[in-house]
Amino acid sequence: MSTTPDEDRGSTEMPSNVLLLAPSIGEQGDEVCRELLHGTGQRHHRLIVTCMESPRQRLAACADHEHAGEVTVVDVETAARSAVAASADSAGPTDAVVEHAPAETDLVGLGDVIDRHLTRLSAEGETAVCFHSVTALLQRADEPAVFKFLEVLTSTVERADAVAHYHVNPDVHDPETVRTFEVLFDSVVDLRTANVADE
Amino acid sequence: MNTDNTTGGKATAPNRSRDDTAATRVVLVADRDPTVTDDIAAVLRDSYTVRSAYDSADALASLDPDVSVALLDTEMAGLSPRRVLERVRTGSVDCQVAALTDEALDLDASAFDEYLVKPVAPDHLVETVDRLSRRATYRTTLEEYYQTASERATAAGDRKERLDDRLAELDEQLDDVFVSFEGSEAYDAALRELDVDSC
Repeated sequence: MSTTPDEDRGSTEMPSNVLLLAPSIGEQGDEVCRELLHGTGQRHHRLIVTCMESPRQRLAACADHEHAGEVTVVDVETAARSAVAASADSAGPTDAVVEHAPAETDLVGLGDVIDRHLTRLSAEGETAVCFHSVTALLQRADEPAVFKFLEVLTSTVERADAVAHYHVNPDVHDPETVRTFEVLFDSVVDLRTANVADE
Repeated sequence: MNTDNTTGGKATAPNRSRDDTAATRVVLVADRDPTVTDDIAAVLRDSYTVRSAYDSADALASLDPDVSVALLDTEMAGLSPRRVLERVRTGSVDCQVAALTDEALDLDASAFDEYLVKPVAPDHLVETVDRLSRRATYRTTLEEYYQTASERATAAGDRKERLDDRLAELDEQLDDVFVSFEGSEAYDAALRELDVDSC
């Protein structure tokens, strides 16, 4: 898999922000996710934001245990998957730092938490971010708010010299919604067609 | 040049310039003490178009979409924060509101974006209004960015091209403001919803 960098970003080998259209929870999405998180081998730290899956599920899906860098998970809890479930889930060893954001956290609060970890990790070294997922976020907040949140997040990622990819399940949204969000990203990877399109 | 446009004589509703410079941005000042209102207006007039209002009716009448920052006396008769904020954030009026107060406010428990304790030192006044003005610009530009992206999602041909050009301009304007934000402030500027019920 390869991605095409933005024209005016020709100096970097990877685009900062990639929208990953992955139809449903499936192995292909996880595989590409792993590749984006670990592919270059130069990224030392990982920041994983998970909403629907528990931190352990998400780590199992995309973590590379060979990798030595630090892993931080921001667990955006939902009412259905509460702290109780999360703490039961966290039984057993994991090397990752996990921060739980309670279900009532609003987007400003979530931005705050992500920003704190992104700032910390990127001060220590190159950082790759997995945001899982835009689809889940659209269940918590309306489309304009999520769009604005992602504009800020993508700007923050760029400022931190990090790279990030954002999962979205295109099957559950109007095509217009996905096209609206496309403009926020440097590049869009569509796993339905295995097409790699430049935004 | 008299940049004042007081409420009584609503001479020009200036065309909302898309890439407005500070001088074309409008600040509304309303204190129950006309001397305080005039002093504050005099300091800000170097950099902003200032509207002075001496009572609550004028202040409310002055709150239109051109206003990007409003400085309002919390003790002005008839100018309850609730009335003001019901106007702000509804429809097209979306300005930053700072309270002019006699003592410090707990912003988290109030409906204001910021507060200024009187008497306000000119440096602090200008600095605060500059910051609020940047937040207002970011907010309104981001809203237009979303609207344009949403329109583009269903556009084709020439129209899509025009919208793409507009998006590129807006993106640049957003970046220009974003660099002035520290830490997670951009999330707050982009997404903070003032809770009218907390007034």
